[in-house]
Amino acid sequence: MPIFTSLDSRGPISGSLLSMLNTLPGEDPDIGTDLLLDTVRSVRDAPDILSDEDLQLALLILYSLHYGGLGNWDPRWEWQAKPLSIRLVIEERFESVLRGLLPVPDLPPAEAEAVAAELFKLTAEDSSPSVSKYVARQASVEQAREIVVHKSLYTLKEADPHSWAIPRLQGRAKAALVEIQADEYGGGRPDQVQATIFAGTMRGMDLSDAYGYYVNHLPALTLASFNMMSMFGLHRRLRGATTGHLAAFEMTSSISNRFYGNGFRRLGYGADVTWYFDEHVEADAVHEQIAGRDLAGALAEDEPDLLPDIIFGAQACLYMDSLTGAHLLDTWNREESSLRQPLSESVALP
Amino acid sequence: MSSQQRSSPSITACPDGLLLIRGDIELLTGTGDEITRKRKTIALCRCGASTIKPHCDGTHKLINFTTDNPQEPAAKPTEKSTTGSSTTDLQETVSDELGTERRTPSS
Repeated sequence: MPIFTSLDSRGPISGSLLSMLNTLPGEDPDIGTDLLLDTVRSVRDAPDILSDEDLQLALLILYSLHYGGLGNWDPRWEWQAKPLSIRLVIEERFESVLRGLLPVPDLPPAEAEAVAAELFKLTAEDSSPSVSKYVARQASVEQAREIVVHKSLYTLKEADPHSWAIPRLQGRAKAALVEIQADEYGGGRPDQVQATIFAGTMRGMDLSDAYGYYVNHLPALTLASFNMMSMFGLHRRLRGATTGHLAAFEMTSSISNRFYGNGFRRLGYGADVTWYFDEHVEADAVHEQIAGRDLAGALAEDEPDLLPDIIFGAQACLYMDSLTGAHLLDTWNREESSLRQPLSESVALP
Repeated sequence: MSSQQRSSPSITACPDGLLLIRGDIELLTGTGDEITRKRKTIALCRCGASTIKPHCDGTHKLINFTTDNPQEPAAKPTEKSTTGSSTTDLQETVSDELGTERRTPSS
């Protein structure tokens, strides 16, 4: 039986949503009606939805109805009209804000090699602040533990958000995504599942590997990065963005994981902690080629209309990475915690 | 699975990058010892700068490795080429940037 962390609400929307989910679906037919109207207003008035603590937590909770793992709520809530309607209201603004921030550049020809080259170019040009270099050179143990806590929201479910796209792709693109995801999921060996290896990293740093244990610590931007992947994955029409996101994610992974591995070794951590990062140096050098050429590239050839979204997905990945990276380095430079509340010295494990 | 059902091995020469190996293929050291294959599809270093040879670690992107063949067969030694001293110098820069010990290939 999993132990669920009690989630702290971050405002009226996440608070009312948690109250609603703690009832049974159908128990009160009017429940959620006011919440939906309040969400419309809150979304409309939000100055920056990407860093809106209340709305991003609400979205995370809503997606968790599909993934599981965040609360002991009645599982029928997953397909109730009210939570789905609230989700759509938040998603609509979330997506439009991202698209507004990231105008699609000149597109390459819809040919696999050209699309892969464009994605490699985009990710190489990315000049966002490098958290991994900071970790390699100077991060403290406390900062290293913080970065692992930030990463845990996605990495304890590593590969899951992109896997939503598998049945939404066909032919070559589907085969390529499955080729990558099969490796992420351990190639049939449960101990090799990337999320499981990462759980070992967390335990090796005296952190809880229970999913959601640190959600109350995580700022909106960290939630938004994961929410964006879930939004892309759960909408069939956004399958192009999912493939572009995965390609950019993989293309920025192998080298940064080398930095992370070296940083954690510098701090004295052993192979139980660094295995995850070392593993990704080799794995993602493979995955980035498949993702660029056989997944995103083949999809562009097969469905040329999706090319703008493929590029958008890659841009969105890089953009959210740059925002979260800037947040981490800014707070650390001010000698503050990058989390909403610092980790306690010794963390009580559940 | 019968051998007929197995897909034949393939090697994809990725532009400006690695060699992607798929299918059943024996990976051996120079003395004939088997190199452990941890995943179904693997990437072998082609630029010479990987820190986990024979596998690729993505370093080719840091050193601007290119698989374009030189236009002129007798390129001047000072020109940047895919091999030779420029790669070595860059690799040192990359290693220096990493700042710390390198990963041992035994893991």
